[in-house]
Amino acid sequence: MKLKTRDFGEIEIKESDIITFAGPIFGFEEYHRFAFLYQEDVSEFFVWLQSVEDPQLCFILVQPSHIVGQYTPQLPPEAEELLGEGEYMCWLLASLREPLEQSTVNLKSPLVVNPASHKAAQLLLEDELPIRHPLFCKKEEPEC
Amino acid sequence: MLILTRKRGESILIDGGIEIKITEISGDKIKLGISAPPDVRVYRKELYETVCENKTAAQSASADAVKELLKKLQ
Repeated sequence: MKLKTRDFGEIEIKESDIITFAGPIFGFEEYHRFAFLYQEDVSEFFVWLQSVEDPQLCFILVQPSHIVGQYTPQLPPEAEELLGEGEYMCWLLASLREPLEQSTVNLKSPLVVNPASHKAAQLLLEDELPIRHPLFCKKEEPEC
Repeated sequence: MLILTRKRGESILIDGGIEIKITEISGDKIKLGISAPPDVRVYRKELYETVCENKTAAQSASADAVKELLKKLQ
């Protein structure tokens, strides 16, 4: 099927590339179907989450390991209910800011995906984690 | 910030129409019961902040910002 995207024009995707949000992206409860657009030639750590329902709605996601190394949050009990059994992947929502160096990611509320069931949800973690964590951090800063 | 001490079962009232009651205390967690008129939105703060952050995430990615990001990643 053809998919109109915000950042990459019209592209061809398979129905199986579409992920359904069983738990909403908070504030975007009316949007359920998204496609992951991998840009492996650009970076394996970044992925574009394009709404199937609205070409103008797109999020940029970052792999947690690229930002904080180990990221194994305790998921809330509703995770399995929403996503089904399987191995989950966590992605962080990035907010690009001006200048780009001030961009942040949300460690507190990751997008959790079950590739086996093609389901995803944004989950609010109990762990004390920042909602705004620098996307790009200098290596010499130990807290990054 | 106004700080009040309350026991289990006690409440505070805000503006006459909003009641916040301490229903349970266990360890470092307390359960609150909140009664408010239907037009008053009640959020856990981190959820409210996540909604704001998600809106920023959706709006912030102007074509220029995305181009700059792509350039930086390559």
